[in-house]
Amino acid sequence: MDNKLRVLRAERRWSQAELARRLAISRQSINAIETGKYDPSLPLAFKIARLFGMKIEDIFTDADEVSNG
Amino acid sequence: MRANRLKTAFLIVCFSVGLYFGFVGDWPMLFPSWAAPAFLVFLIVGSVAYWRVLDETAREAHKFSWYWGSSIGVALVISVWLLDRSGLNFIQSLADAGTLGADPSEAFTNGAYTILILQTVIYAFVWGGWWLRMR
Repeated sequence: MDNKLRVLRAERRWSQAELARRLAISRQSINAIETGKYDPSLPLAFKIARLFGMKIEDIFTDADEVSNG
Repeated sequence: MRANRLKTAFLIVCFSVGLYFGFVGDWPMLFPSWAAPAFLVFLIVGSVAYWRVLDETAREAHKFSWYWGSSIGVALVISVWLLDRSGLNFIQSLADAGTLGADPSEAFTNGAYTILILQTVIYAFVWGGWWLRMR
């Protein structure tokens, strides 16, 4: 799964630690999600979406869907 | 920050007590009889509290590591047992030589420890690998 978390975070000039604090998770988790090594659970994805005021599908995209056009 | 300190303190206490009783002493020698059940309660309550402060990636790391650590640990022990059953019969020879324990009770305890230690060691490797991969 791809995501725009790093871009959205950079737009707000938040560090990984700051985003982690706002989501009440660890900085390591933020890094793992940003680099696509870990896909967050649905509750966490909703929490991220709420924080950025966006829909989940605007932040997270299915890599297969993107490649299939 | 406070949660991290609590997590670390809990792990250090449990690891130290585990090491002590695994390799150094026995309950009756230094502690009153209520110390063992009291520590067990502390362990259970502490484990629940520890689990609650973990975020989901840390929980996944534990679940993933315990699944593979425990499965591979048991599989290794079963492999040794199957090798023995296949005709090598080395377990009886080791038991006769007193290598597995002075009596059946000690041999049983050593067997249980072997499984537990194998599972824990592999668990630790898998857990470390999980976090290295997530970097």
